[in-house]
Amino acid sequence: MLAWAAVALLGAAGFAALALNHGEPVSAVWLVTAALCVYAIAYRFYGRFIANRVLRLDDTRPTPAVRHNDGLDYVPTNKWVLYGHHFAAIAGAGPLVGPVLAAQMGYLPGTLWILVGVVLAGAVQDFIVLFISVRRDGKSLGQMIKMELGPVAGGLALVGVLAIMIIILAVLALVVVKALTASPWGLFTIAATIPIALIMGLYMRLIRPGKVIEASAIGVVLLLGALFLGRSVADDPSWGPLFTLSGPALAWALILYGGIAASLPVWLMLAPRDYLSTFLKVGTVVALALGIYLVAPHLAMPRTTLFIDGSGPVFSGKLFPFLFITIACGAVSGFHSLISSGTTPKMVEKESHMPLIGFGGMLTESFVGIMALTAACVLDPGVYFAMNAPAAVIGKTAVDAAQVISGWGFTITPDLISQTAADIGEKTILSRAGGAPTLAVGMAQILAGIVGGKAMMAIWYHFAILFEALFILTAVDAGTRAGRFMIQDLLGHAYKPLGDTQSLFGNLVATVLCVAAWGYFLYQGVVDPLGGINTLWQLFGVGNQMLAGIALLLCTSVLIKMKRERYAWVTLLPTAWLLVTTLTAGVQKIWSPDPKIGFLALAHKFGAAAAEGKVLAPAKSAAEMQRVIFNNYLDAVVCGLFVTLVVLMCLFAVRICIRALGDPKPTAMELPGGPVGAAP
Amino acid sequence: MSGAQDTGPGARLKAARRAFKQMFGIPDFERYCEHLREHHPERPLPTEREFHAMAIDRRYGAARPRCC
Repeated sequence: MLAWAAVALLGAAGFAALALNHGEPVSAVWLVTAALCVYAIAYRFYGRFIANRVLRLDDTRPTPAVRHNDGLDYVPTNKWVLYGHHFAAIAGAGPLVGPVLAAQMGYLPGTLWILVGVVLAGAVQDFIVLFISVRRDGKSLGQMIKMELGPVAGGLALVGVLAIMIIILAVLALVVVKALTASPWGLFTIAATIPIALIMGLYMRLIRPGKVIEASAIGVVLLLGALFLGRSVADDPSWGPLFTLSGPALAWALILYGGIAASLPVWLMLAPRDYLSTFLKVGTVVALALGIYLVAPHLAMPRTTLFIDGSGPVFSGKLFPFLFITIACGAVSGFHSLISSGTTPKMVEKESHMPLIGFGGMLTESFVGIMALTAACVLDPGVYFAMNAPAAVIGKTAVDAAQVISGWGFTITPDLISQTAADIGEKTILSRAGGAPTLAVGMAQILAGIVGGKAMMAIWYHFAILFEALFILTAVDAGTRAGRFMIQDLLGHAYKPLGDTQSLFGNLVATVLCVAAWGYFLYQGVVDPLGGINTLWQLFGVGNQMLAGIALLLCTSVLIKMKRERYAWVTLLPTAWLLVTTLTAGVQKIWSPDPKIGFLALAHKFGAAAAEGKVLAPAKSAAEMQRVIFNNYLDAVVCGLFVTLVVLMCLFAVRICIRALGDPKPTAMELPGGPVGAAP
Repeated sequence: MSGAQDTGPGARLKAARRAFKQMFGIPDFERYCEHLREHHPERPLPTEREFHAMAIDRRYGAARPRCC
């Protein structure tokens, strides 16, 4: 108990250092330490409370891994090993992008939301979804919604998941495009990952079957080779221009890549690259944590900036509700409900391991989000805004950008902008929104503080870009395949042969549809003069948080059906908060009269101008005017779809809960307890 | 997790290798063979090549959603 009081005191000291300072620089170590103390206390007390009182975990109940042990998919796994496995599966690009974008409001709002959000919403969701899946033989989220809330609700959830998936793929691809536009060094190293993955795939399949670690070691060596070679390629007068692509060209390349990659056999590219990116991801996260403690950089970003009023250049909209949808992963991410009901529940050995895996795994992801926020906030704020504000706001030259940004109160000289670009081996850093490049500069600054100093900045920068692009491309490949299955599932209802996942024709049609869908949003984002991330990331945030809302509605319904209504507040509280923030954000994105926020307002503004024959600033022709109008209507429809979905799910859940409250017996569809012999 | 009770450096190394494989989702041929021998002695053991081809296709073939 004394130790816990010490942890609480240390955390409080961290927050005092963060919140009470008057202008003097604060070390990032305080921020990271305060976060770690919050996690430790939340895990020890709230996690245990949920485990013992709310869920009443019971180790005498056999888990799916014990029931169905097949030595392959269903394997009882050591809890620490499974914790690592689960963390590697949930951590992606999300916690790296959102917090970086949210840094425009200063470091404090983002930090507080990440910490409060993860403890009360994110970790609770991941843990309880894992719990209800384990008690239902490892069923998926869609299946469980069908079981507990009815078939219509299950069908709606599937449509919602598909829509969110398409937006995620588009926004992740957009992050890559933003990072690689006119960056020959970056593009060369990323392009090199394709042949490297193929070599690894062939090695693992044909030369040394199953030797994943050997193949990955070869892959890492080749990757580092490509990273160093990239600089010479970029400087070469004939090769350099070949790898210098514009945004739209990169978008087409990615669309083509997505279509081809998702059609190849999984062992050839997807599997080897997934292993490679997982190793790199875990390694880099550990290196970043060590880096922050060893270098102890100061937070250069102020506690809060003037942009909490909604006028920020990175994304528009006030702190409430937009901070809460900009940072999704890291605080609470609906996508995790798919992982917590995917492979993890099939590997849980004992119920009492689940707090560490579900609750603890999400706390660890949140820590990644905190580190991303830290990396963005140790940058000079002027550099941060130069990298993240769109060209329509800060112009296209270092001189213009420095003038605009200094006008906001973040003094910066054109020389510093050019010097930063030179340090990282790029021609320009302006308007590279999307999180990845900003994080890469921040990471390069931190990591170069340990190894290599300024001379190594460029290598570290491109390493960071490589690490992010690698797992984003893996996600694009895997996501397109998953999207294809879902589309085939839906198409099969209309025309049977299209639903056959073995048929080449059905496969092709669904793959093309899936790629076309995310490709459309990607291209729209790339040519959007306001930067695209502006619109797409918020659409993604609304979708992802809506999915979290749906998962938590399921958790609430299950708690009530278990007759644990006394503790229903544990899931009702985050459900209510998610519904309030996402519905407010969704409604504002559609109907806000401010054309910077509302899709319809922007469409009307352009429509009125087009009717008078005028061409408004970002567009350059009447045809482009029409495209802006159409795209904004489309975005409004997608946003409307998310809002409608979540409202309908809410109605389904309320109906089920009222019925369950009136029933004196538990009605949750769990498997019965008691020891059962292992099934074949 | 049979074998975890054994001590000695060899057994410990083996346990560590297994844990590493599980953490990163690398198919474990040895474990699968042990499982078959123990629970389904009537089934023939696959070759290492067959096993890995099957395991990788299973792991990645299904519509496994990836996180953001």
